[in-house]
Amino acid sequence: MSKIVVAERLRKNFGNVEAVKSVSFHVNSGEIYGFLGPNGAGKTTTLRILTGVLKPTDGKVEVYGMDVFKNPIDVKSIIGVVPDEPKLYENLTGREFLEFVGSVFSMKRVEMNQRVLELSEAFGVNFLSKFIGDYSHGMRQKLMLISVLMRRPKVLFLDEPTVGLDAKSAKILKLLLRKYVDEGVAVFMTTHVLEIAEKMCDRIGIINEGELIAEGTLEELRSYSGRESLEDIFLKLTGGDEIKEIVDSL
Amino acid sequence: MTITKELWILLKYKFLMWSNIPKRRRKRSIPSWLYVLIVLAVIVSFGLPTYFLMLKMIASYVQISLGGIDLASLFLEISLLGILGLIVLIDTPAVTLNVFMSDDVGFLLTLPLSQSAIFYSKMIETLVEGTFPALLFIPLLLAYGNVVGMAWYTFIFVFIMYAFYVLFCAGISGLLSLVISKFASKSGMRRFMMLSSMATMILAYFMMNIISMPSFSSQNMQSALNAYVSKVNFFLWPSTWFLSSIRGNLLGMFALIGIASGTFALSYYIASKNVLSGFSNVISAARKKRGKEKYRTHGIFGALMVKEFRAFRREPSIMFFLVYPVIFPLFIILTSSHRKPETLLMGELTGIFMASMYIILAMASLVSIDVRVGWILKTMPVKETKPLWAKAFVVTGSFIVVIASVFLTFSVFFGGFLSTVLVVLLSIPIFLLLSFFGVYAVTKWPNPSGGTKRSLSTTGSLISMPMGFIGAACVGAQSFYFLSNGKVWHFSLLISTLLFMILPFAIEFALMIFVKRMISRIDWSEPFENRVS
Ligand SMILES: Nc1ncnc2c1ncn2[C@@H]1O[C@H](COP(=O)(O)OP(=O)(O)O)[C@@H](O)[C@H]1O
Ligand SMILES: [Mg+2]
Repeated sequence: MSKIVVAERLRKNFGNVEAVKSVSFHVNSGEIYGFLGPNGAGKTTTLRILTGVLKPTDGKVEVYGMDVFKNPIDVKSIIGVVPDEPKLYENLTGREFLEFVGSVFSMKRVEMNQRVLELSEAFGVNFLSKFIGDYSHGMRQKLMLISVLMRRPKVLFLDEPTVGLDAKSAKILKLLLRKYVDEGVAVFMTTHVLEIAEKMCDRIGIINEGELIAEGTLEELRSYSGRESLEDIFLKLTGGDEIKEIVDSL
Repeated sequence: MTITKELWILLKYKFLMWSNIPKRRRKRSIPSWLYVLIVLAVIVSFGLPTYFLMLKMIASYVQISLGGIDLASLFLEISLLGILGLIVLIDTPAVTLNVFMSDDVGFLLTLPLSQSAIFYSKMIETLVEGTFPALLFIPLLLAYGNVVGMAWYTFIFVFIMYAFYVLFCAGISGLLSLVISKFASKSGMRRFMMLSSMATMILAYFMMNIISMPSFSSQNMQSALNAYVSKVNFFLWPSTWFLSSIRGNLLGMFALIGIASGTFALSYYIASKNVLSGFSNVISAARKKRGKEKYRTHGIFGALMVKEFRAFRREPSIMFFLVYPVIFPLFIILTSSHRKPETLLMGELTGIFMASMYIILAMASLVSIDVRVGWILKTMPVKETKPLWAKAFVVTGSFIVVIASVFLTFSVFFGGFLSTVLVVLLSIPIFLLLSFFGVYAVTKWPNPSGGTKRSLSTTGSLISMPMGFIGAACVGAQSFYFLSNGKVWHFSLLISTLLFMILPFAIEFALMIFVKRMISRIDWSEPFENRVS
């Protein structure tokens, strides 16, 4: 197993809000790394830094040994990113959008057609000739997934990938990711949903208020915390012990 | 991939998006030959009269020579500097907004595209929309060339050089927006706004100062004129290089081509340094508040007003609208050599014209924010017209406060305090009316690609201009009437009452009826789709 994505002491300030505070971790080849944390913990910000969209205030990101901000083009041509709220071009049809992405990645026409066909069938996508402006959240997410998966990236970054998806598509995504991972792909995904992290990820990093407060496989986290379910671990780490008090006072 | 290939892909799909719009809205699109014909007709009907006007003027100017240059060439140079100021003023905020605050930049940054390509594609997009004023120059160039007696191939050369000149102007805008982003990347939106409007203001003020006429009241008119000529016809100005290059001076030609390419090379260099990922829309420069927040509730209308006021204050593109109506008049006022109440009045009316126009756009933005949030307001127990009134009050109020405070301050130095008060008061009703016209406009001509930055389609934006003019004309006419005690110029009392009092009021009244009827017809469940017909 080799380290594919390496993040070292990432920090990001927005004005005087510290969104990410010195976070370090790595993602190995052949694993799904889950970034778990409550809303506003800094997951999306970290993902934007990892993918070279946002410069960190401090720290370093390497993908396949290349610095994301020094070799942006090389890195971006081997990664795929699915944002949480895909803001896509309203006035393009899904097909035109895929063509656009395919052109940017200089994909071969035959290969692209083949892949899009397979993936559309898998996700039950039959709306590619409609304008993106008329898509629902889940439809946009599926389109974005197709545009990323069709080009077989070596590293995948997914931000809350299952939020907009129906149950069947979520299941298919899970199986697909597992298949790619077995072929050596590295996956970094964020989620605020415990079950997802539990079921999909090989290793989990728990982030709260911009800090990575625990990391490891499910077993490691369990032995570290001494409790049974991940829910308890998660709530304990992110300060959920007073939940009963809170609910009672309402 | 090379940057040209990247740019090609980006622009190709941008064009596709643009040409898809009628398809998406399932509008009957007019055949393209008819479209071309209409555009041609518009160009000719504006261009030809301008051309003949210019021809006459230049023919007489060319015989007058001062300070070693003929008046026609001087006029050309002045206009070129004016164009530079105008393009910078219009394009810089547009490029900045488009490059650094577009929704899709985040997505494009995840693709293996160079940041220079992304920057240039955004810049070209903006410039295509924002550099129309440069076309106004073509009749002037043709007239100048004809008077001077140029051969046809020289015309081609002139237009090539003019293209370089426009490129230079656009390049300055691009550079400015890069520099602004560099300084503003670490801080909040507010500072970003301040910096960009200030930078453009200073530059434009500088340009206007160069071309504004000296005061000829001094006895030493000849030397004043000479000083003026040498100021405009200065060897470091790109306009001077343009002029000398079309007169066959190679040095001027190389200087102009060099500087135009230079600005682009420089912005390419800066853009390739990862500026785009260095910048993040700081959503709020939120200070962490300690302790418990206190919440206050307002009545329904108060709550709506507060909400609209915040939306207004926090949407940077709307804030720009508020700045323009004072910047432009300030140029007129500050660069004029006479400090007289009349100058101030002219400035005020210009400001009211701009304000009337931008009120429509600001209102459109506010309405489209609400429509995009969709059903939230509809689930609340609020009557549909109430949010509209709240918006209209906020927009009208903000513009009135800004205009009043700026012009009243100036009137202390220029005189004419009372007339300023009068002008401000007369603007209130027309501003309110135009706010409601903005509501109508955004449902009739919404920007098909969405967004609150530009919420009107091109047609809508174009229509806001004559509407703004009507607004300013009404206020102007009424103030003239009051200021001259009912006898404007040499008109009789009856005629001037009819023309300057009754007519403007009739127009306002008609506008009120029209807007009221149109707004009552809007179907708020799908205001952008089921448009009023
Ligand atoms: N562009 C921005 N400007 C200012 N603050 C931001 C910006 N983006 C994120 N933040 C702040 O950073 C923190 C982390 O946000 P984010 O990474 O989106 O959280 P999440 O874990 O839910 O994805 C939040 O407090 C958020 O308000
Ligand atoms: Mg998030």
